[in-house]
Amino acid sequence: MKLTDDLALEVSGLRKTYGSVVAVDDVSFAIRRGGSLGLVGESGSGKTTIAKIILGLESAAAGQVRACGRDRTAAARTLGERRRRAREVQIVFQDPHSSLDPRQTIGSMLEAVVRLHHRDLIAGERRQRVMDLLDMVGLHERHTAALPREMSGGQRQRAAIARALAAEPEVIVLDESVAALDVSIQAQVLNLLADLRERLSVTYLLISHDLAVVRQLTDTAVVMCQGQLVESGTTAQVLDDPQHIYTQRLRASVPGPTWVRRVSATPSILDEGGAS
Amino acid sequence: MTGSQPGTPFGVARPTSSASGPPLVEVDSLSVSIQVDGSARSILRNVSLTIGRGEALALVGESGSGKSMTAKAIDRLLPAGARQTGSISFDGQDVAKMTGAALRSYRADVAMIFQDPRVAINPVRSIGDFMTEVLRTNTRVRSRVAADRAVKMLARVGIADGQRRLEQYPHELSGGLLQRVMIASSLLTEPRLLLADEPTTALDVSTQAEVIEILNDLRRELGLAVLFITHDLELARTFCDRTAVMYAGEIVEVGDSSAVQEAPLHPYSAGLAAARPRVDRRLARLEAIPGRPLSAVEAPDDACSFAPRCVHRVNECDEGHPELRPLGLGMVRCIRAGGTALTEKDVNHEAHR
Repeated sequence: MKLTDDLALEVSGLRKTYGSVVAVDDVSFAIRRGGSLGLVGESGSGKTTIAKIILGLESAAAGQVRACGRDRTAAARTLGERRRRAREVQIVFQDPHSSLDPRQTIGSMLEAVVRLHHRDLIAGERRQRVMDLLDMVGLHERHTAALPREMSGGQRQRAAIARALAAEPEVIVLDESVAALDVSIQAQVLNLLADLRERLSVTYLLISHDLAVVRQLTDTAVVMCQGQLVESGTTAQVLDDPQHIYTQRLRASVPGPTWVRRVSATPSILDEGGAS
Repeated sequence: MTGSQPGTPFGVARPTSSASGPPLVEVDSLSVSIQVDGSARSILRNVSLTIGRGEALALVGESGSGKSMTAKAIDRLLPAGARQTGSISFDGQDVAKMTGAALRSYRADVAMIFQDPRVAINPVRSIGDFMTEVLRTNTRVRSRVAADRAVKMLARVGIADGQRRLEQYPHELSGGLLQRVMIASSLLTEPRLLLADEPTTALDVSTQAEVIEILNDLRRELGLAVLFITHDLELARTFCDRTAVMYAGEIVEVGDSSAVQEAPLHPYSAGLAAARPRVDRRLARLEAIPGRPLSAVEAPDDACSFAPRCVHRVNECDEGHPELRPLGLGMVRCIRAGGTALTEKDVNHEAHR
């Protein structure tokens, strides 16, 4: 029992099918409290489907999802249960431009989440909490009145992170959350995410195709290919000494000084026959 | 690729092997502005670059730096109402003055491929229809001959069952396959210059590797010059002979691709290289460049555009707009580059540790 209590998120035997297509096939992994796990794979590998099941946006065909020791495989039946689950797992999407309401100011968006999850707070306390959240992600008081379109891409993503933090979740799913950012801004947000984890002991599930980002932000990693988990271990192991041929090819595909020469020696891993 | 030719050597030096006349593309002091609410907004500032015959030049920068706009200007695809000064010449001819047959032949000479093939290909028309249109309409080739050439070109980008692919529709193909179709179709008119605008950004890493390899092969085989637009310095190095770094609508550094990454002259290039996380080890902290990228509109004309984010800033940086000047084997737009600027930074960082 103690062992399970230490796990922030536990996925076991997860399966999801769309018609005859098996999107996720018997996937299991776990993240301990305060840990950070990278879910690596290319498009169509099933990684986003897993995120959706964890969040309750999709239902699993088989298997189980537990967060903070509580089962969340079946849909939440009551409002209270939905809110409790929201305090367990939050998500930051890839593109804040489409995940933020274009007509809501950042302040009002954050206050709405705070009000939902901390019903005992009075107005002044809520405003203070919004300021704290903005401060935590490196935004300023003046951003409370800003609309998403008045902010830069990096600031918008910081606002999306603040919204996830507003519910004080145990786990944050980062679904390609830095992929759309410019290089210099991506570095700032990666540093911010590392700081927040250290400060708040929050748990990360990072979904990414970018192995360098996975290296920078996670302790453990699982690699998915066509719905199946093909390799797992510490991030350092998986990236430095990949065992599965798919991981080896992924690793070899990262641009580097001798890269073009190296890839030409690698056999094709594209879908030669089919039109996937 | 093991036996491939080393690319153009360094900096501003011309490729000596194919030095028959001027470079293929010569962009000279190109400035572009667009009208927004009645006032002119500058988007490109004084951009000068050359691309030799068969040379690959990378244009690296963040969003809004002007790299796509530079390619569009070369392809005469600037938005309506854009005002352009300076000149672009292709094979010695002024691109702005081309009309009629000369412009059509220029369009055949210059091909462009875009970031997301799904957006760039008409989804309701078959691959065959898409690929052969340019041949059927421009060169009046019969459709069967055009289809034949399309199949041959598909084979060159590694798609073996071309005949079947021609009958398929874009949604039946994966992103990597579709991007290869784009590349094949862009090469059907036997262009001499390929403008590639982030051609692999929307693709998976392993697919990216394959597409880059195909581009690299074709480039060597066909003697194709490439302007390769990317935000990734490392990718620029794997593919291009020279790299030009853009910031706020202007070029801040040009040089040999390896040099720009390993021994950058401009603090912004250095910052870009240092900001990227590494796949081979975890860094205690990424060296993020403070602030955010400036767009050309916001950039000052009487000071260095990068100064507000620069760790090497001194008072002189705000007292005049730096010129792009030769330094070592490259060119740089920074008054502090050369001297001890970058070494000082290293010393500072050592002291902080």
